Amino acid sequence: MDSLPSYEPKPHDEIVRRLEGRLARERAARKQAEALLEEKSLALYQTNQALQENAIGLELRVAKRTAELNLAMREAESANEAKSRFLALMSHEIRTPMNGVLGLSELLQTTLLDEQQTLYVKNIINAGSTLLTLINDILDFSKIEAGEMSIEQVPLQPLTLVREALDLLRPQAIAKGVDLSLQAHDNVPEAVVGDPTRIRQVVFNLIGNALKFTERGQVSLVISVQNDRLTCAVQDTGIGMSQAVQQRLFEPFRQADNSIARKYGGTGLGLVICKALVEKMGGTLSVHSVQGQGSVFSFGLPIVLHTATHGPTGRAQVNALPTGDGAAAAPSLAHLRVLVVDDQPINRLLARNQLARIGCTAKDEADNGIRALEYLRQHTYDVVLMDMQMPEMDGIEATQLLRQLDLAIQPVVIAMTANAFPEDRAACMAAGMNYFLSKPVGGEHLRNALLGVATGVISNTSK
Amino acid sequence: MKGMVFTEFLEMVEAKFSADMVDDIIDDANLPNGGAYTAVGTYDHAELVQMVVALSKRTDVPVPALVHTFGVHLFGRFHALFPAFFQGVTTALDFLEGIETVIHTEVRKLYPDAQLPQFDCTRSADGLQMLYSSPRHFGDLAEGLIHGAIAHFGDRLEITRHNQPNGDIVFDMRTLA
Repeated sequence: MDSLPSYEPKPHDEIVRRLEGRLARERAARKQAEALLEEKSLALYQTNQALQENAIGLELRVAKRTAELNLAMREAESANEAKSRFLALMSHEIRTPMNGVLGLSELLQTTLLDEQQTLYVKNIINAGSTLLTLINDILDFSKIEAGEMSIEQVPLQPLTLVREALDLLRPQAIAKGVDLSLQAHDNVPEAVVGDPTRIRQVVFNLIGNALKFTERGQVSLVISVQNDRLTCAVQDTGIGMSQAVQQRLFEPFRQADNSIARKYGGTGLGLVICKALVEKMGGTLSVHSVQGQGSVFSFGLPIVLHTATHGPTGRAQVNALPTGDGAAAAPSLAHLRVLVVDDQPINRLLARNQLARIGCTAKDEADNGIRALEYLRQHTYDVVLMDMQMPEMDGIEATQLLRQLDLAIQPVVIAMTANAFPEDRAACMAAGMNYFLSKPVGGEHLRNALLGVATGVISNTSK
Repeated sequence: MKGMVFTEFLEMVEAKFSADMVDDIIDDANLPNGGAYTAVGTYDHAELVQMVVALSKRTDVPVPALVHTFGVHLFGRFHALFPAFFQGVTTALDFLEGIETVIHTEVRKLYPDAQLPQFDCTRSADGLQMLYSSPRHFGDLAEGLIHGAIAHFGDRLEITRHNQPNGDIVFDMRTLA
């Protein structure tokens, strides 16, 4: 490009022509650019519109999905409520006939039976008790699953509580030839605040398990205070467990293996429930075991010492009930005037006979709340055994009305019901009842409750 | 072909020759839109060829040499207009290798229908092989751009051009010791 052609100077017209040409080119280029700009702006506007529509569509879809989810959640919740209601109902429905079966079997045992009949009755009671335990386990597990397990905070005496649990299991230990012992450290406080029912359940379950898996040697319960925790350790010389089995131990419906289930029976729920209960009470449950050498299950609970501010309550006094073993020294129950209120003839028959067994009589019987109030207006009673669910008028309403009557003596009202949930018990207490017996009511429990009335431990405090 | 190539070409002609030369080659080429180009438009590449041929006739410079010169010029403009593509790039080979993967990717974001030439690169220990492939056969323009890049970075490279039977071109670049 070294030899560039040289351009001669142009005449004026030529310059004007060129300038006009360039101007026309620039103008045309500008118009092209403007047309392009317009086209692109329109495209941009349309894209924005589409985006906006999409956004609105998305919002509508989100709203719709949220509504659908809310509906699904409500449906699930109502299904869950239905399940809970069903459980409560089944609990009641199963316990009511079980009350009859176990109670009457108990009575049957006291009649004159030959050897074979005695064996049959014993087996009926054993099978019934097992069935009841199973029902209770499944109910507890369902409640734990539903997060509805409630824990009480009432005064209790730890040593008395574990002694009672041990006493109940001692016959089983003696039958197996296993030594069952209690070691209590001096540092265990006399009274603490907690849930006696649940602690008893855990202790009972752990010792029951230990006995189940121990063929010889001993099972011991060590109760002490360690690291500011009330600690119970159940130690056995049983079959023990491998590491792998220990890891699966707290999974629902799992036992060590199927052969265990065949040999020892059980639902595999016991430890799951124990662990959940202990955790619900703010504690921990742990296990140490060596296969073939035995196991130690221990739990520690935070200690809340029982002070005066908690005050004695009806429940607290229950723990101090005479346990019925010194029958000779126990006061007579013959003077108690008892009204039995239950709509089921079989339950009235059972109560009547149980009362007779413990030296007491049912003065009168009513089959609903209205009849009961008629009796209560005309006669004086010391104790009313009150069913909860009855036609015409239930036990709650009858008790409420009773407490409004101007009577010379307001009787002690003991609820006897198959409604086993703590809410039911709370409803009874709120209505003015003084004690609660869960059906099936064993003769011993009824006797202990009446002893409580006779000695003034259970009294009518509602004014 | 993107309008920017046309506007840059005419600006180069005006700078290297004269505004009158721009008028003349536009007149000679007998263009459909009278030589009115905007950088953001898209035009038929044959119009550029027509203008280069007209420029060659008027200046007696062969077409390949003109196109090559335009390539070198275009690299300079590219560097001035889009400095972002040069950030962190220190050698001609790194820059050339990124044309396909970095620059063309960005161009396609702005112009999804742009018809771009293809530069398939193979890096070796001592150099770079670029396979240029385009239906417009502007191999001279590509070579000019490559030379512009090498001159810009000041690298000492030996470049050999191998024309392929199908019209593609292999540019073989080796670092000189």
